[in-house]
Amino acid sequence: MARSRISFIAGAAAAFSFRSHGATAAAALSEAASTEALVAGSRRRFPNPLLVTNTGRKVRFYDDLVRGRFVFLTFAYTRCAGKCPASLSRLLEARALVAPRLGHAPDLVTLTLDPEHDTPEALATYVAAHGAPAGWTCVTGAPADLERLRRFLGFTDPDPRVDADRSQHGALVAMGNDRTGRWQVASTAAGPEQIALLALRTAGLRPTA
Amino acid sequence: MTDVGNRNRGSRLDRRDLLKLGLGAAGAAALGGLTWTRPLLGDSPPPTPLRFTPFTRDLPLPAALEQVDPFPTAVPLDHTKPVAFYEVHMRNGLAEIIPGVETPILGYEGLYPGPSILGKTGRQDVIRHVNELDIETSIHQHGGHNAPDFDGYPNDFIEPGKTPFAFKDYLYPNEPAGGDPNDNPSSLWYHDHSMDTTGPNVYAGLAGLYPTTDALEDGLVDGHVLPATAFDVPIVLQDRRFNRDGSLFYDPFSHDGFLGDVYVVNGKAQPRFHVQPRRYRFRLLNGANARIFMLRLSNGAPFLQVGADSWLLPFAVQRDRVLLAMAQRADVIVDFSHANGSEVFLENILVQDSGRGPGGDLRKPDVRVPGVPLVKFIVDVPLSGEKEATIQAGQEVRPHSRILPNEIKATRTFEFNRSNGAWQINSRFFDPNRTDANPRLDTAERWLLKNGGGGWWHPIHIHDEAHQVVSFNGRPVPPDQQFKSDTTLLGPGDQAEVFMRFREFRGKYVFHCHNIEHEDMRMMGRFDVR
Repeated sequence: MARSRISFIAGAAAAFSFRSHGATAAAALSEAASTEALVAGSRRRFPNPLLVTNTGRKVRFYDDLVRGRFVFLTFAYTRCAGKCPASLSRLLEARALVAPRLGHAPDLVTLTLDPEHDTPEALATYVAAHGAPAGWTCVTGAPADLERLRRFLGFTDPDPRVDADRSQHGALVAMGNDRTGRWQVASTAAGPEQIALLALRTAGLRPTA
Repeated sequence: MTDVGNRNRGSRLDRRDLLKLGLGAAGAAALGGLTWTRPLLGDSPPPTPLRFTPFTRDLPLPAALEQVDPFPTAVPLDHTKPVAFYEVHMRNGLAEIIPGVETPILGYEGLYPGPSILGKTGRQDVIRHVNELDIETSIHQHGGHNAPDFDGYPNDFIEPGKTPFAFKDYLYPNEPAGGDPNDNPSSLWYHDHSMDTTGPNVYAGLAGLYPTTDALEDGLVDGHVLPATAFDVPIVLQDRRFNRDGSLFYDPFSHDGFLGDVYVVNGKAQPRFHVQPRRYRFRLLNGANARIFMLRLSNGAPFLQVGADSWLLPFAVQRDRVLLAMAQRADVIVDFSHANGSEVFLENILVQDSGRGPGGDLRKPDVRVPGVPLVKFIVDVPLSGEKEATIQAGQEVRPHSRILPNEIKATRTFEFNRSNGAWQINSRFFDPNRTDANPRLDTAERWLLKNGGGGWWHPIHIHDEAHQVVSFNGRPVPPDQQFKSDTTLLGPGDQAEVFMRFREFRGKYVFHCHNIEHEDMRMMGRFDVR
């Protein structure tokens, strides 16, 4: 049975160890700065916490993964046997559909819903098991930082019971064009073609050409 | 079901706090910008950091769009009938929504709300919409009976960034469905309908009114049954949220339904309106993305409702409040003749803290009296010489052509549900290339619209033709609710049985939730009339 995310956050925020990457959870929280970004036509604060990728690289979420890019953001976890595999498959297919028009596949960033288990090493194994497609980055970090990002990006459910159960997480993708501040959110269940068409529009390309 | 009224309260003052401080409606008004919104900890968008004194700006009345010289067009005009040509440029603009604050908007003609287009039954309108924005658009005449090519299909984009600017000509024949004059509309409106982006586009300003008249309605006005045109006033209700620099705050990640914390009427935050001590016709439109209103007058005075959604009612109905979901309209007659020298507020008494919907349900919504004042009517204008309108409760307004059970050729069930963190109909996301129903031309159908649960509220808008609600939760609707609708509200657990005809036009249309964030997250279906 999936663990309650609320109790997990409350209990694990302090217990979660970020030490192997040179920082305590408290320090990570203190460094979980936000930065100013253009979102939907106005400037607002965008979370910019310190995270770690599947290759062990330390990154600032906004500065290193979003700024100036066209990016797909999604949440998943390596032990997920539910929606994650199909959702990932659709996103990888949508990237392939978009790539010829965009000139390259858009970056795909998967944020873990299970930072306690999903260490950089676990994420590396996960990426390798999926053929390590170029441009796909998985990230983990302090639970409180990931939770803040999840809430900011709207990957939540208003029903607290559903929201606390990560096995019931929404299979969504947030597509962002940081150069224009345009963000679109879609369910990956809409299918690769519909995701790709929306991605082209978000990237500023004509969807029908 | 979650009672949103019991959720955690944020740090902002609400009405109960004000009452404790000895400040009632006037106190709330004086402080300005305060609402009943109680942000949910962690998920809530930031409150508007601007303060203003409400009721210091006059209610703006959208200007009528002027006709232009005829231009060459590819639309299939009927050359035996008159035609009016219009041109609308969608462009960036600036609006003073909050007093003294400039807010960038997207507007038809750069205006917020857009200019009103005055339709006339029997006269075709050709409207050239030119997209000067940097986002794709599609224009829907809400409540109109138009060919699919001109209905604003969600991916029938007018593309941005073209040189010269891309445009599309829309043809509105302004003929009633089935040639039945009882189906002539009165209170249409137009707004963006671009797939996945209707929410931000409408929020940024892409909406306007399209009042339409015919001989019957002209006769009611000329005969002083309904108030004269000078006393026929649109009231477009919206909610908006602002950044400190005056720009609109919209959260593209808030797809449960985005709520503002500043009430805006005809593009002004809580305006005032000086009126004569006489009867006025107010055409109320809920133009918000996700907020539902329960409207009443602060003095509790009753009013007459003469229209709902796009159409006049069979007969005038006396009410003391009216529930208005997103996209719904109420055409009401308010009598200020007994209020000379006083001030009366139009207020919203519904408590709603989240995009899920108000607290309670349709039978017992969570209301609080006194409500949030939206418009202050100041009854201080001397009475002019025009004759007073004579409409009375129960008086016929527009005859109603009922769809009879023996006309029904098919029954379809549509359940509006949430799945995968987004919004579906019958467990499917909208795909513009997939047909979800195939009604036959010149038939009528019975559609069961079911709320899939979870405590969500969904106003269901069906394009092409009016629908008639026959029963609600298994019970026949009372006579004063038997009329034509284009948007039917489903509260938590509700089910509506509606009858609908399909006439004149073959092709693809959509039906969808008009919580626009739900719509953008694909709570939409396609039907093809064949």
